[in-house]
Parts: sequence; structure tokens; C-alpha cells
Amino acid sequence: MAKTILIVDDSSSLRSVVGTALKGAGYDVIEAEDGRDALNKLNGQKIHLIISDVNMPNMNGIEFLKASKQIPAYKFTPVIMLTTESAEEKKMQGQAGGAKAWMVKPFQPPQLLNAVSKLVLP
Amino acid sequence: MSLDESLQIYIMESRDLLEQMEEALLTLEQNPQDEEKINAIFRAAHTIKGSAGLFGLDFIISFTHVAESVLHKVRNGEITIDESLVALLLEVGDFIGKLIDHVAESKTPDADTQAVSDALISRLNVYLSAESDMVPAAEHAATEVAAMTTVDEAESIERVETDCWHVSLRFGVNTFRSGMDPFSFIRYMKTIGTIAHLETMQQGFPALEEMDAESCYLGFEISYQTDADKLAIESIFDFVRDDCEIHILPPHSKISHYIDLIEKLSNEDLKLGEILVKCGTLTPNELESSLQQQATQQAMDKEPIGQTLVNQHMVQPDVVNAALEKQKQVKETKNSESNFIRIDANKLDELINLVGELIIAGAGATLVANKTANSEMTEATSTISTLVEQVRDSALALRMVQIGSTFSRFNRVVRDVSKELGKEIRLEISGEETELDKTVVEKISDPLTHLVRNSMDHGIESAEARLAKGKSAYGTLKLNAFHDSGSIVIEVSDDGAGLNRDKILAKAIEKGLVSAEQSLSDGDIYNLIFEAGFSTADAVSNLSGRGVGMDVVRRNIQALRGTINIQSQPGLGTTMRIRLPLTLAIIDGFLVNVAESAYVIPLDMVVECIELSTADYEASISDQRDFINLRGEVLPYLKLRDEFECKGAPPARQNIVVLQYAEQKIGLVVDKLIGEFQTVIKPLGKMFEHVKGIGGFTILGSGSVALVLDVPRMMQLANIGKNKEQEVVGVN
Amino acid sequence: MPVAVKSTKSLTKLDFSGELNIYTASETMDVVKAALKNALPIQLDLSEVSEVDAAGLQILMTIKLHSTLHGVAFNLIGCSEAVNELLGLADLAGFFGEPTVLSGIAA
Repeated sequence: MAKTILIVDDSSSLRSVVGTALKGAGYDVIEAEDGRDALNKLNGQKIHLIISDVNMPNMNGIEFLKASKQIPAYKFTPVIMLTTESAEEKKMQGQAGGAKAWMVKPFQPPQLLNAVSKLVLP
Repeated sequence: MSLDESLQIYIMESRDLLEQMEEALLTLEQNPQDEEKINAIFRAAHTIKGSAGLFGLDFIISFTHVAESVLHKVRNGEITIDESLVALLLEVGDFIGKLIDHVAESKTPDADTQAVSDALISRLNVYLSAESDMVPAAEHAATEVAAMTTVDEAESIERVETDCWHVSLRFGVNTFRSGMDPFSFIRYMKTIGTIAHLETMQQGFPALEEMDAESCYLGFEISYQTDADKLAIESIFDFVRDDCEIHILPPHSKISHYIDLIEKLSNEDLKLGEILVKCGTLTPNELESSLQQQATQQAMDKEPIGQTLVNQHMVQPDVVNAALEKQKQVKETKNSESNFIRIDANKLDELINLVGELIIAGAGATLVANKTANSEMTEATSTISTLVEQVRDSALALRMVQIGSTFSRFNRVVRDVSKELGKEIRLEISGEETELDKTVVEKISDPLTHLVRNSMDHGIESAEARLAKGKSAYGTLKLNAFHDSGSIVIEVSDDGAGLNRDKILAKAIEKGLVSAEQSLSDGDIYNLIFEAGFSTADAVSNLSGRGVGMDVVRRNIQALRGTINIQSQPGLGTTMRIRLPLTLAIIDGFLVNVAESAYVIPLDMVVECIELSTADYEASISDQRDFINLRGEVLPYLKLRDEFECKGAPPARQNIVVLQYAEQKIGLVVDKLIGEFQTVIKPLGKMFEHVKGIGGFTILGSGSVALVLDVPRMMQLANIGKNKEQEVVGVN
Repeated sequence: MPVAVKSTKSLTKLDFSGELNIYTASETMDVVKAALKNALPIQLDLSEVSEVDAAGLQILMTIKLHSTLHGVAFNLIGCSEAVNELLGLADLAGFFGEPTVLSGIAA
């Protein structure tokens, strides 16, 4: 059974490229355009990995991460946070929210696939 | 979805973001403290750069990065926004737009672009020069033991025999809580190498009673064969590096490095050495000699063994939480731009086309039903046509967009042009929620720009002139839009000097556009500025001298089946009013017959229908009188039979369809009134493009063709007739 | 329930089934702790485990270490494919003494 990955990013082009790459690698993909949308889409189904942008409208990645950790089914789901800001402050905020895995944008699809496969192989 | 399609999305998305960025910058110029806008600008740059990587658009990344760094400082309050920074950032936005254009045209930046880029970057760097605190993207902390293999090559202490890497892992207690599974990394290791031997550590496990199932107690010693280099192996554990202990020893490491490793992990107990032997990393002999060396070394310095461990377990200070709270507050307010789907405009066109066909087919069905006189059938078809009508409306509504985004683009135009002209001009926008067809919006932007520039250049006076007239020093330009009987009206008004009637007339006579004897209304004279080859400015300024004249503006508007007229009051200002059909595709039509042929008149413009009395008809033949007295009002009319040169005698009873368009009324004389008809307008072929008075054609339910009348054009025809008449009177 | 306790007077039998992972770990551990208070020989059946991860493996290891510490017999009577795969990866088949797996991993 294919592993399911949730991508949360307000950039539809990013979602589309990342989604295409992940599907190509054999993952199932669910897309959400911000934290709020993502929370709406989490309804108990098994998610093996969440990839989330930090800076998003409506509900940012950190808030989303915190909220998702409150849901038992996603308490231990690995999360890769995407950010273009390497500023330490951002990073620490994410850690406080439970994020360990960070990817700095811009990246190319192979880099992301590589990172993803460290956490979940298809 | 292919990469190419994704790229198209990226291009659209970036252009949207740049628009938002520009809007935010213009707001900031007025109100530099607006944090939300600063965030919006930052996010725009951030997203454009972030997604650029996916497409390998390195030139966008490198340029945007510098801009983002400046914005980062602005957001942190290290740089304050002022006019010059806004101006620079506007240029930056324009330039990113240009780079995006390059992407759209699949060009790579040329030398000129590069020069602009360099110039902008050096200007941006001025803001960054203070101190460079932008941390490089990924900072690599090399904590591993064997970082310096070359240091004491000369010593040539025994090296271990194995050609495997040795990887020692102790996962942090919170590994599971961070969502990580240690085995995922081990599985990944197997994708880039071979695990020669793996030993799962049993040390460190608590007693059953103390076991916390959500804490991680796992550790591994791994003998690993791979072609990957040290950095690549290290990077496997990037995500857990912060709170795991990771030691990586290259093949043939010096024994002393293993001693270090054993030392570092020796709080577990000396079993580690045995495990290394078990893994095949060390031979028993190597272990023994290493243990001896360890003993000597420990005697020499008593440095606490666990030091490194402590160093690696970095504790997060409370400061983090405080910072997080603050960040959260800032982010709370955000515009809700969700709930939209992007659709390829072609797909919409296709849908509307199909709806059009559906309407035609439906009309055919209704016709057949009426012929069969089967009441159930008739009822069914009438239900269907009601539904089809609703489908038509929703399909058309899909293409309707608010004019607001077109209007707000003028903030920038007005800002730039007023600086260029040295006039202070404010823009007021209203009616931005007014909707119109997307294709119309796209085509109206250029003519609108020209009108705005024209008003600013010729309409609004200099500050001195304004003050002298007792007006405010700054001029006001207004953009307004509203719906009016099936059309959208867009107004560009200024509070400038107004049009100079005499000057226009003199110029028109000089250019031979009108004769001196013609008596023209003010409106007629103002409209002369739309004639080809007319220009009132004494010296053509660089603004209005850009090749597009007002005649082109009118032509563009007419091509959209629209009209433009001018109202002007000397000293008070000018209003140019563009009137456009809401949509170009489907209209409610009124079907009439003239000599066997069917014609469609847009229903919105039909006011009433009256009979052409025999007396009036005879007067039109005998006196060539082409107007009637409609309840005391003069109603000029056109006889379609004449206009379209129909053969044969008119029927005994003819009708006049009274039309109103843009505050003007005319009548059209037709043979027979048929009734309302949903009309799918199909464009005329190239051959018939220049036929005056016909805007397109449509197919009737019966399969026959009806021509769609172009009412604005018809009105012009009627007016020309009127002018001619006046001319004749004048000569006499 | 990820684990069913089927004890007799002379044996504590733990039948694991379904997902034995971080999501069920805490609950499973509570059951295991309660079941192993009696110091009887332990028998594990893992043949119905559909999914096992590091957290699940830790529980199994803790049980085994517990049996060693208290000198009670430990017997693994069945392994599902998922369990076998992980035991192979962790090279712990020998540790648990599961014969079929032992022969399976030559490396």
C-alpha cells in the first residue's frame, strides 16, 4: 500500500511540482493550501508524512503543526517543514512545535524526494 | 500534471504575487508601519524564490534572495521603510516581473538584464551592508570524531583493517515524539549502501516497569559499506542530528578514533568494544591495543568523558516560547484568499461554447415541440430552456471578474506618471467590485491606461495653475465602474481644466475633420478628439506621444462593441465614459424579420416597439424624412430595408423598434417583430469584418442564420445621416 | 486492542495483533506491564501483527530483557512477515530466538 503524504503550501505551483514528484516516486499525495485547509483535510486517515510550508496565510505552518499534534492519529506523524528563512528564530519556533526536519527553499524535487525517503520510503 | 503545466501555474502565481507586492508597497508608502503589508511583501518574495528552485530558475533565486534579505531586515525592524526604499522595491518587483516574463518566453536573461540585476543588487546591498546576519541556507556542524584524518598522518599509528564505514547511533529520547522512526533512517541507508552488520544496542533499556513506550531507547552500531562520502552519510541523519548522538568513522580510520568513540560512549559500559568487534569494525587485536591506549590517555588527562554529550544535548531556552507567541500574534490577521480554483481560460471558453450549442439545440427542440402541438412536450422543452438559461448565466458568471484588480494597477501608473510630470495627483477608485467578462477586462486595460495618462497629462493642471484658479494643489483622478442596463460603464474623470471647446474645433477645422460651417454640439466637438490624426497638446509630451492616439482608444473600445463619450465642464474637469457590453458571448436578443431575413437586436437596448404609421411611412418616401414624433420627442430612425438594400416592397404594416443606447434613442424600421431569443453570438468571418452595423451572427433553432445588429454602430450611421442633412442645410 | 493476554496458571501468553507501533505503544505497554507482574514464563505470538515500528520493537525487546532479568522462560511462537522484516533489519532474530528468522538472515 502506498504511503500517503500531505503537502501544505500556499504556492500551488510548489504543490503541483512536489505532488507530481512524490506521485512519480510512488507516494499518495494529499494537497492543502494552508494550515486551516490541511486541518480540514485531516480526518483520521493514515498520513505517513506531512510536508508543510511555514509562512502561509490563514494558519501558518507552526500553528498547523501544533494543532495536528493535538490529533491522536497524527501525534507521531513526521513533519518536514519548508522554509526559505534560515534565521535561527524560525527554526527554534518550529522545534518548539515539534518539527525536526527542515528543508530550506529553494530546493529541487530530487532533494525533497531524498529527504522524504529518509523518513518514509514509498 | 507535467512540469510545463506546473511552470505555467508558477508564472501566473508569481505575477499575482508581484501585483500584491506592488499594491502592498504603495500602501506602505502612505503607512510605513503596516506590518501586514510588510509581511505580504515578504511572503511574495519568499514564495517566488521558494518555488523557483523547483524549476531550476537560478537567476530568479539569486536575485530574489537579495531582495528577500532586505525585506527580512525590514520585517525585523532593522530597516525602516521610506520613500526611496519603496521606490527601489517597486523597481525590484518590476524586475522580478521581467525575469518571470523571461521564464514565460523560455528565454534566459541577456546581458542587459544582467546589468539591471547587478545595479539593483548593489543598491539593495547598501541596505544589507550594516552587518551580514543572513545565515547561509544550511549550516553544517561537523561534530564527528574523525573530522581530521590528515592532521597527524606522520604518526602512522595502526589503522583498522576494515573497509567499511562505522556508524554509531544513539537516538534521542524524544525521537518518536518528533515523529521519527529510527528504522526509517536505517532503511534509507540501505538505499545508498549495504549494511554489512548492524547491532541493535540493548544497553540503555530501562526495566519493564520504568519503560515509557513513547520514549526512544534505541541505539545502533553499524558497519556500513558505501560509495557515498562522509557528508552524504552525515546528511542521512540531518533530521535527528540535534538530539541524537551520531558518530561516523571512515574506513581505515586510525585506532585512536575508535578509542575516542569508545570513550565517548563508555558511559554505557565497555561492551561497546566487543560490539565493534562483532560488527567487524575492529579485530580483537585492534580492540585490545585500543583499550590499552585508552587507559594511558585517561591517566594523562582527566577530562570528563561525557562533555561532548552535554554539548550536543542543547536545551531550548524559554526565550523560544516567548518568540513564538509574538510571531503568532503577528500572523493572526491574514486575508482569506482561499476557496478559489484556477482554471485554464480555454476550458471556460469551451464550456461557454458548449452552452451556446446547447441553447441553439434547445431552441430547435422548442420549435419542433411547438410544431407537434403536444402540450407535454412543449412543457418539457420549456422547463429545459429555463434550466439552460440558468446554466448559461452561471457559465457566463464564471468568466466574470471584478474590475478592481485592473483599477488597482493604476495606483502605480498614477504614482509614476505624476512623479514624471511633477504634478501631485491622487487616485480615487470606486465600483471596484463591478464585474465584467474576463476577455473584456483584458482588452480594456490598454485603452484605460491611455485615458488615465491623457487625463493626467492634458486634463489636470500644474499645481500653480490650480492654486491660481482657487483649486486644491493636488489633482484628483477618479476611476469608477457600475452596471447600467446590460452594459458596464467605466468612468475616468479628472478635476482638471476641462476640454477647450474652441481649441478643439479650431484644430479639427485646420485638420479638415469638419467644415467651419457645421454646427456641432459640445459633445460632438469633444468627440472629435477621437478622430484619427487629432492631437490637442501643443507640444507632444513624452507621455501621450507614445504612438497610441485617442483614435486607437476608440477603435479598441468599438472592437469590444462598446462606445466612449466625453463630458467636460470648462474649469471643472472632464469625464470620459466607456460603455461596454457585459459579455461578448451570449446575449438576450430580440428577433425581428426584414424581407425574409432574421436579425437580432440586443434586448437590453430595446425600449419599446411601435407601428410605423402609413402617414409617417409616406412622409419618409416623399420628404425623405427619417424621424417621427414619438410622444412629442423627435425619434430618428433607420429603415433596415434600406440599410441592407433589401429587394421587394415592404409589407403593409411595418414596425419601429425603439432602441436606447448611451442616452440616445433611435428607431429601427423592420417588417415583423418575432420576439425574445437567446442569442449565441458567433463572430463574423474575416471577409465580413468590415460590414457596418453587423456585430456577428447566430444560428436559429430552425438552423437558419440571423445577423446580430451592432447597435452602437447603427447609431453612428444614423448620426452621420443627420450630419449630412445639416451639412446640406448649411450649404444652402 | 493491540495485545490480548491469554494467561494460564503456568504461562503468560501475549497475542499481539494489528498495528504494533508508536500510536498503540503506550496502551500496549500498560497491558504488558500489568500482565507480566506474575513472573511466569512468557509466550509471545506475533503472527497477527500487521505493522511494527521501532516503538513496537522496543516493547518486544523490553519484554525479552525482562524475562532474562527475572530468569523466566521466553518463547516466541509466531512472527508475521512485518515482524520478521524488522527483526531482520535490526538483526535481533537471534536475540528473540525465533528459529525461522535465524536461518533467514545470513548477513
